[in-house]
Amino acid sequence: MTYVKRILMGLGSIALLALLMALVVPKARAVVATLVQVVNTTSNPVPNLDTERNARIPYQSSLALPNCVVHGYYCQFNFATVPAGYRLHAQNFSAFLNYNSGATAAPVAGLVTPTGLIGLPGVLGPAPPFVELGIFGVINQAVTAYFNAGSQPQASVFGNLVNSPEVPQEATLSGYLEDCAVTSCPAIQPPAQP
Amino acid sequence: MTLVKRILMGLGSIALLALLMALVVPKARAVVATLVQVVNTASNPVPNLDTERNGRILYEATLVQPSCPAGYGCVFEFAVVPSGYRLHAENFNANVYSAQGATAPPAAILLDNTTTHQFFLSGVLGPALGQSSWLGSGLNQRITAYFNAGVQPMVQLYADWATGLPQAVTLTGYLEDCAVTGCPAVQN
Repeated sequence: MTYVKRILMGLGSIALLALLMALVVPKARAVVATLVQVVNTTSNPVPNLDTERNARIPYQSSLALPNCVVHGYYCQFNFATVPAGYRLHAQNFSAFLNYNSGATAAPVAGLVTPTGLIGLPGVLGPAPPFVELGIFGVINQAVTAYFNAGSQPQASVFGNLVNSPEVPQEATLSGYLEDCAVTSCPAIQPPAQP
Repeated sequence: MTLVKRILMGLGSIALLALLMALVVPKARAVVATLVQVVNTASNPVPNLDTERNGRILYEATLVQPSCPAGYGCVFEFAVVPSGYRLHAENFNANVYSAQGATAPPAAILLDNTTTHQFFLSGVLGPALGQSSWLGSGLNQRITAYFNAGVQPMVQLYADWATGLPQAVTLTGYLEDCAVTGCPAVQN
């Protein structure tokens, strides 16, 4: 029994000492990263995913506006508002414009951006007029324009336009929405002039 | 002294018990990630592969109509976009034979079978090229247009046709793999 007591006392002393040591001695807490060199080759590349590109959402807003012509030559298109948390990268503008008979001048459009106006020229459609169309003008232009969250892209189209409830004027703005949660959408440079 | 002995005996018993427990009770095996730092340099970059870009399938469709009716548009119907993909149309081209004496260039409407979105494209009238019956003309436009799976891209092409000659259109771009990107809904 005495022998057992001694052993237990010894163990108790060691435990007490270990407890004291644990309390007194400072712990080493350095975070150490192992240095590695990736040795994949061009024939065995590391698969990755561009999170910015993958987060893009296509944007394609089309409008067909009857009776939109003001002053006989002007029609305004108000496209879908850019949702919160995103920035629109407009890449293409396209319009089909029904013309009055006898028109000879090509249409032109102005895409209203936060910093100004982007002019987009068009052409008259083929003559003679087609049975189902009449005289028309078309515009299709690649553009690069940015619209922040909450803004509504607008385009003004000019031409000898038909103003009719049955014959709408049509336009499409397309591009993609940048996800600001990924990119943080830094301010467009240079800042807009006051 | 007896009190000290008893305390030490108690601690010894606890230590013994803890030792036994450590041996008997199964250990919790927390998953610990090893921290690594990639030390590749600019002259020795990590070769990588963009899985989204690599998942794209090239799309190039050409359709030919043997002849188009005078005074009407000519309709071209492309194949339906396959399931699991979204078509990104990037370029539209038309090779058009216009009638000799035509004065206006060709034009086209790119749309889908739902007619939700339409793109309006204009071309140019080319030279006579020594031919007496037609003018070579064409249409080539960069576009940004999206067609979801199950949708059929279509084109209505307009020109002052040269009779009896073939008219051709080509739509190019790529198919986005929705298994990679999730194909979020198009905003409009």
